Amino acid sequence: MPCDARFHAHRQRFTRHGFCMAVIHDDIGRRRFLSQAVMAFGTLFGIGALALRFVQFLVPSQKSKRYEAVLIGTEARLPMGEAVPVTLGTHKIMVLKTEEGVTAFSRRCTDLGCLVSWNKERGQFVCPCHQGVFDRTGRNIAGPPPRPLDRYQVVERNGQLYVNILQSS
Amino acid sequence: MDETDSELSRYHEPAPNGKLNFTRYLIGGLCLVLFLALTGVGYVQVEERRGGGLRPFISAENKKCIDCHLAKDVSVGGINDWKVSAHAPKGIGCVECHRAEQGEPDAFDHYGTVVSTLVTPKDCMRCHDKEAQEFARSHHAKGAQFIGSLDNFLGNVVEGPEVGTTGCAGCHGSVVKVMENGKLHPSTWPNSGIGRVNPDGSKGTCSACHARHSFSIAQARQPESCGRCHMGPDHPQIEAYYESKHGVLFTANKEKMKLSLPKEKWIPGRDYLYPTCATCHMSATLTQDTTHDVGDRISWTLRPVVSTRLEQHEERRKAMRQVCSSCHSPEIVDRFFTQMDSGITLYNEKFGKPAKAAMDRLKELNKITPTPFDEEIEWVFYELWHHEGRRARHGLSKVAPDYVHWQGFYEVAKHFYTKFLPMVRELSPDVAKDLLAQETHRWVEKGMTKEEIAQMLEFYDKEMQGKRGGT
Amino acid sequence: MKALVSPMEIKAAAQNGRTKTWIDYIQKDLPQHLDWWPYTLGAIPLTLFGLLVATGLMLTFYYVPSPEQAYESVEQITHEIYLGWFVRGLHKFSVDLMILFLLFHVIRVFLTRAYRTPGELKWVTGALVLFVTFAMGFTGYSLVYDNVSYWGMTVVTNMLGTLPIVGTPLLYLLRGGEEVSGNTLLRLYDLHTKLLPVLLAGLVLGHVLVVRLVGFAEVEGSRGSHPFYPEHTLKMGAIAAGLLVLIVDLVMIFPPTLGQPANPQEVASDVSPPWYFSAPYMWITLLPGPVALWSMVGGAAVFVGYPLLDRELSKRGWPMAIVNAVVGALVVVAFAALMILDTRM
Repeated sequence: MPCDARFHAHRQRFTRHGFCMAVIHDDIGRRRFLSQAVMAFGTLFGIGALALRFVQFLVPSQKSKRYEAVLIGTEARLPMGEAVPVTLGTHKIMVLKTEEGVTAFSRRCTDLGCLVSWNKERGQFVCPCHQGVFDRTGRNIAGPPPRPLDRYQVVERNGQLYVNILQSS
Repeated sequence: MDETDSELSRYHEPAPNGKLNFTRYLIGGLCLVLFLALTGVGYVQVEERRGGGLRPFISAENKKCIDCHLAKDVSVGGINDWKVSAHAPKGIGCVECHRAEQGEPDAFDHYGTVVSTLVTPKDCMRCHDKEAQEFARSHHAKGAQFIGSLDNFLGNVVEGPEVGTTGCAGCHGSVVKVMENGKLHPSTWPNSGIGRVNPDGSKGTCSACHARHSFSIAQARQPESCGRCHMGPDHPQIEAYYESKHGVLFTANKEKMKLSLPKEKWIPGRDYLYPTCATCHMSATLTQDTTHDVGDRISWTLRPVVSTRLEQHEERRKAMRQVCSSCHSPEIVDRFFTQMDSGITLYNEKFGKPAKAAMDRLKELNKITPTPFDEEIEWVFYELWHHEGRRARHGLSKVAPDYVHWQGFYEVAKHFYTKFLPMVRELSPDVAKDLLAQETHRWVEKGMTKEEIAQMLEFYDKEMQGKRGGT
Repeated sequence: MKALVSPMEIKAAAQNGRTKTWIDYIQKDLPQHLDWWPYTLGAIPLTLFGLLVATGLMLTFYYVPSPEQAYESVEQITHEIYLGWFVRGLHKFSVDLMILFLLFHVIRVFLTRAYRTPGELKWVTGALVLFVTFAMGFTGYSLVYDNVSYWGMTVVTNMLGTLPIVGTPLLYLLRGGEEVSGNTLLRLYDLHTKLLPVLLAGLVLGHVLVVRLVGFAEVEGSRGSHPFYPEHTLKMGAIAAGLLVLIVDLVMIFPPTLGQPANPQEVASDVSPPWYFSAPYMWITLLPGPVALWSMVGGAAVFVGYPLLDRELSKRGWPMAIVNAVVGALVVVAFAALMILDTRM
């Protein structure tokens, strides 16, 4: 502690800094390093959290995602083994009826976003851009597409079929 | 950091190291507190929305109800109505009101939750204690106690019991019967009559005026809320109100009425200017609190054959005068009540009392049977006081000239002299003589004096350029 | 002023010829008395100003300055957008605290007479900072566009309109017409987000520069000195961190609220300007028009020119320290009384 005491005594003037450093350099250095570390650590967390909160404020809210059910008609009116393209707002949809039931796919090819069409003979969705092929369950089976087609939920209510699409505000 | 620091230490005056280090620790510590506070911020949100009063707060329990109802499409409108209610943001939802205890007469198990369909004043009372108590002692709460009355006989017997269910009980309230499975008997429910007798013994229903499920104070303050029942040929309160200047001003200034303000911020003369029914009969003024005993400020009863003053009518009148004084000078208020009181006295003395005495005499003399409505004179008498007489009196109390005269006293007089009088005379000339005993009826026999006839002729010749009326 | 030779200068002399680092540019000897907290009151508004700029910028990402959508967007910020209430609350509390601490700062400077030569320019720039901050507060308050703020905006613009000579043109300029309208909102928005912030930033910078150039006022008994870096900067850092904690907690305890939407047909039942305007508002309400106005214009002029007044009066032998204490106390009491009166009415 003598060094600290000295510092206080000579606080205003004429302290020979180097002299003191030479005597107990390690102790002071350690103390200062420790305090600086705490300060840096705290500031990182505190200001970081503030910045994070600000960024969260700017990121568009995910919570407002709301689905709405849009009527597409009765099941009987859909032809078996046929996919009917439907456009609902910005959603381009293929409604496919097979023996397993009715499914709805996004027409956007998962490769680069071209619109796929239904090939009835092969029972497959085909993308014209780079010959991406999807089977009737939407699985990518050939060509560049990296993942299956996006699916829309189909619900039946009072004999009518609805697809759940993301509500555009 | 190290680099800069070692450089610094070479050419800077060293401050007292202990103090500097302390400040650094302080900054670090404060920032960590800040971090904690900011972490907390993420959790505050739900609380804030709840208290913010603008979003419905849906508890996990109520979410179950709502999700299922939406999925099955059962009373979705009711749920959406609730969402805009003042209850919703406070989290007062389905189970808070509909929850019931096992063993209550109308409790039943509904997918694992014991509920009751009826929400009675007893349920509402858990929060709205003062209102429920005031209501319980009001005349409104006794609305269903009309069994044995003339009106009940008319509805249930003369007309038919189905009328009783919807016509009478619709306003007066039913005596709700619970079936064995806890469900309510269709002859007694649905019903939101003001004096409904509930299975839990409580009387009335708050939703008679605060229509569910939004329970909007603004809607309850609308004259139409009262007008659902206080209307029609037998007591046209709403019609008389809309004829009065009060009603005219209200209609013209509806958007300035601030009907949704809380009671202490809805003071006539200060926060809004044009009175609705609620203003005078219920709402707070600068010196009076709100009351859900709607009769608190009424000094007369205008209902029976002969109007009488209620108990403690002076205090009641004082309360009403205070409401009037929110906008009017005491002189105007004084004179208004003088006009109204003397009008009611006129009805009482000239028509009500003599007609009632005549009917009582005829019954005593066995000229008519004790059974009501089996003789024409009973219908005429009934309408005389129950319809026309009340119209006149309500016109007086609401400052509605046409209801005082054409819809009121004119009809009273017409049927008194041209229907009731001849019928009484036919049954008993003596009674008829007594009926006209009053000085005010003398003109029927005496006719007009010559001077009066001359004056009338002159009026039509000069003032109306010879355009005389029908007779 | 420089009776003592500071260690800094010794060092500087010794190290002539060394390359300078950025620290040398901000480094300065601070007198000992700056250790005492009332002398750091200026640093607090500075921190708050930074926070206001940051949160204000973020609010502009969602706010829509049109009469149809202003209220709705504020409601969205307050109730819908994640942490929107938090950012709006920070912004709101920062301005309240900034004005509060500016007032404390002014009071401290006034009582210690720190504006004496050569400090006149410090005082004048500081006074302008205060006025512009008031203007920022008012324009920001108006942007909320709920009924209370709408009528608050009407009341304050009316108040400005009664100013002699410049009043009417200023009123037209602010409102963009005779009445408060969509134009008004857009004008206030432009003022609040563009013109005034630039002006305020300039003034704040100017004020700080003047303080650095002119130096700190001498205070009796304050003989020693300490370096700006790291001693004073650390202290400011601690104050800033403490302030942030305080504001964040305040926002959590009192999240911002929003009244009914603006309705030009219906005067809000509790129309009142923001608290920092309630005293002048009451003053105008209570006194007959011209008296209230001229007294306020005069008061503002005396306020800005107070260093000159002080110098003149001191020459004539007035005990200015006592005069200031009395005047300061009187003004504070008068403001408090008017504010209490405003809440009562």
